[in-house]
Amino acid sequence: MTGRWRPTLRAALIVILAGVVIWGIVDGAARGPSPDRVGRLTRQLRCPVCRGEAVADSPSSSARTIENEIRQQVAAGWTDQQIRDYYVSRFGRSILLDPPRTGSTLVLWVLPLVVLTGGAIAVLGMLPDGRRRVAWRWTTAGLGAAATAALVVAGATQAGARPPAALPLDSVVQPAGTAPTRDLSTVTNAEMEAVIAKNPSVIGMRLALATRYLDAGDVADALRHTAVAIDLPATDQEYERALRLHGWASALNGAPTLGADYLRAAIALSPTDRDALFFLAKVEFEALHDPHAAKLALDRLAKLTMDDTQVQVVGQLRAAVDAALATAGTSAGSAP
Amino acid sequence: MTVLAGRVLLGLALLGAACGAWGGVERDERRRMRLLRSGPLLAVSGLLGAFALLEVALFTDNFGVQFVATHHSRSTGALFTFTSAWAGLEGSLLLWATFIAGYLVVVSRTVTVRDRQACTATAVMSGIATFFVGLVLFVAPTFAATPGHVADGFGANPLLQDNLLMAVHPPLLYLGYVGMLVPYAFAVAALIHRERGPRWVLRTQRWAVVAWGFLTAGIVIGGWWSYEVLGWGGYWAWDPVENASFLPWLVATAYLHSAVMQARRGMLPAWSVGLVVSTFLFTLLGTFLARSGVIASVHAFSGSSLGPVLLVFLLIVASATGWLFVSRLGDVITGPRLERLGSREGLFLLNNLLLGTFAAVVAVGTIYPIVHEAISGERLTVGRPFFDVFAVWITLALMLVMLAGVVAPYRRATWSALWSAQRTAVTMGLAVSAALVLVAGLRAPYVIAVVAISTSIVTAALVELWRAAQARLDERGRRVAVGAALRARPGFWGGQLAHVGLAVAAIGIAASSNLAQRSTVTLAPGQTTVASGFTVTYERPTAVTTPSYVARGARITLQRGGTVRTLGPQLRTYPNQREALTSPAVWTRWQGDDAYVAILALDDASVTMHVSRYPWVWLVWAGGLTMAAGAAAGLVLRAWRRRTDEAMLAALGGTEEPVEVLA
Repeated sequence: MTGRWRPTLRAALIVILAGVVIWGIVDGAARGPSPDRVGRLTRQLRCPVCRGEAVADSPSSSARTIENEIRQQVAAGWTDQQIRDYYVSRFGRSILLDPPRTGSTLVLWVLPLVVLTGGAIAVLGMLPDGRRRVAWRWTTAGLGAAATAALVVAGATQAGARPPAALPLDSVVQPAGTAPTRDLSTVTNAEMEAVIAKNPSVIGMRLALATRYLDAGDVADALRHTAVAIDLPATDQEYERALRLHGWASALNGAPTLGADYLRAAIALSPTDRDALFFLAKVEFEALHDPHAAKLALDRLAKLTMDDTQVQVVGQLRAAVDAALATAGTSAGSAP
Repeated sequence: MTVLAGRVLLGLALLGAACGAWGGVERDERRRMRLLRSGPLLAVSGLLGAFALLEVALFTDNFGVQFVATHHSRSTGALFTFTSAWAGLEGSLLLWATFIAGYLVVVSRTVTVRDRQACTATAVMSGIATFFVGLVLFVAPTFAATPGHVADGFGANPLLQDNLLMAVHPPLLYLGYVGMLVPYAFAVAALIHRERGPRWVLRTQRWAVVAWGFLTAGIVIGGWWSYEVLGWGGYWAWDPVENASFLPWLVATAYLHSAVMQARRGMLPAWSVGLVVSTFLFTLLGTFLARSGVIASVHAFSGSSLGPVLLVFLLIVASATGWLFVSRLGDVITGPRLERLGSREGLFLLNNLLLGTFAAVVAVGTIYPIVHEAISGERLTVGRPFFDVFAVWITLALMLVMLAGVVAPYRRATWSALWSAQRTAVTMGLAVSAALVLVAGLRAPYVIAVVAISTSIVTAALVELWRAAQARLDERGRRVAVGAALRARPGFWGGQLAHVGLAVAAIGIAASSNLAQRSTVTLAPGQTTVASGFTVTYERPTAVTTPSYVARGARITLQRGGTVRTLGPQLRTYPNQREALTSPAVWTRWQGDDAYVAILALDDASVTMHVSRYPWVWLVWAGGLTMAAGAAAGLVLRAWRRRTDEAMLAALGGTEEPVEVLA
């Protein structure tokens, strides 16, 4: 009796098992890509000082800096494409581990499809002719062409969706007057220290005080506050300011590499921060002796509007950097 | 003195190899045989002598030899002194040339006067050997004198001298690369003599399997080394030099399958020749990519003037073989037609199509950036995201074809026949996968799919074996029946073991990449935190000074479940390297997840580490080595069969030679 039912039972079992497996796959796929955007982006970007290693995999300090930058950019609401574009503009296209599906790198993506389609048509071509075979061949060619076209179109729309150079972050960071402003000009440094000692997590006053110390040339005291400020809960604007001040203070305090990292992090948050760009250029040139890096920062600064004093100060640094680059260029050129 | 002796030995080897090559065009039969027999023998003697001399120079700290001065130091231990012979370009090439001569001498023992194919093949191999001996003698001289007096050498690249895996990875890989020369040489010989038919395939299939096994083992061990030593947590980076070893592997795998088709059905002879030729050309391309410094990669520890010479040789070999192939196409292209796609031949073709596409993906992704930079001046990177997209889908498709192909009959396979043969296996695969979905809550789509397909493949192999043994079962019992079944189709069962290995490795790859967890933690001494499913405690900093490096490390205890393990990841500073290298600590847990700890930064106050969890990584090595074991199993089974056949013939009083029949 059971023998008659066995095929049916077996079919039912297979259908049920296949259903569970397919449900698991569909359910997993529906949960979408992992929400860890930082993880995903750091796997798509190459660590600039390494050879072909992803930012996520490299233990180098510059990879760690970029990872932190990306974390801030994600927190500031940048889209994946904006973050990728930002690093492409900074390091060139070789920073991307997956070349874009546009322009000269489209070939890369299309060629495997062409090989597969061509090979499939060749395999089908070995079969003896017949009406169905011909139909198969045309279907394969059509599928291959459609897949290639889809890739091209997807690449083209991906390029179209790219925003123009201006990133929306400016509008996030720039609006003034969102934070409560108080007139601190009559308050002495000692009074501010006392207030901060009572309310350690007040970031605005801490940063104002650090600025005063920096203006007065008291780097050690400034650093004492900026070091705390970068870990305090803050708005993006305050955090960016804390990074900039801490970077500048660290550089003055004899840690130019670290300082430059913080300044770059500040610039990543607010690409139009004139002070941070200027400080970075100064640190790169005067402390790290890298006129090329300094020039990059100055070039970005030149695209921004500045008042007369700023133009003058920046102009002086620019002249010095250009002079250094010129001598470096001639000495390199004349070297045997 | 040593330098002179080394050069003399290499000069003798060059002479021997050149004699072998000359033997191919010598008309006088007696002289031809003498050249073909003694030339290779002289070549291998000279090369073995030179290699031994290099080892002696290394062990006696003879820094007057430049290679010793740059790749060895007095503080290096005995084992790594031995392996530093291939820790640099010149020594690697010497080992490479020695392996070529080794294969050459074995092949040349089988040559007989009337065997034109084998004579020409030996000459072709000798010609290639001549080139490589010339390289180590003139272009990248292994034996060159050190200018001035050197008290102590630099020592090898630190990455190459702290792990046994790295000691065996290069020789295995070279044995694989070089072994592909044998089928290539016989294919070229068959083309030259316009020989039709699969004779060259039959007589070199064993060589192809040997080379493929070595190549597989070499690649797997390289990945294992990368995981244990490099500290980024992976085993395959799609690095151009890794790709350069993967390309010949893919094409050789395609060839092993097309060779069966050609041997059994005489189909697609031109395609097999094309695959063998491309395999060999890809090994040359790999040598060029790895050794010329044309690409910046972690393997580029040896830039030299060798690049142009290798490139010219590659172009000459490629165009000569290409011309030969095209001019003989009319002779080799004939063969029976494919009757239908639904047949074992059809599935073999699909396998070749998919492997070919895979090779195209890898080749394009590796070479395009170089070409692009040469043309436009702009650098490009093609990395994991690009390769992974294609690799995942092609591999899934390949495994499905594998599942069907194993049981598909030649000429005509119907769906119902395939289904009834694989029903049990598929049910098993679905059941295991469904159980993981329901019980373990697995939701990673790729892992679910791979587990289902892989389990089916493994079960299918077992079911096939059971059926084959059942058909042979008689009063002598089950073990005899299994032995008889295995002996009946040595190549097939070797292939099955390789398939099982691939299925196991696929599970490891899918699980370790899709279910991995990684966290970055910063801890002060005494602090504890939970990261990636482990309870991590930073006990204290450590410091070790060994003769070859200074290590600062962290003593970490990890806890998961009831088990506690103490690990010691380090940052090592080597005298000949500026930056400290992170040396990861791995806690391999056979029952599942690896813990992988790599230090990012370490100071007095704290340590910053990547703490990662990689499930089932060891399946990758186990599966990969099982694949290589499949190659060995095929050869062992074949030898076993020959012995039993001979015994049977002797018992019957027959004198006939046993006939080679392929699976």
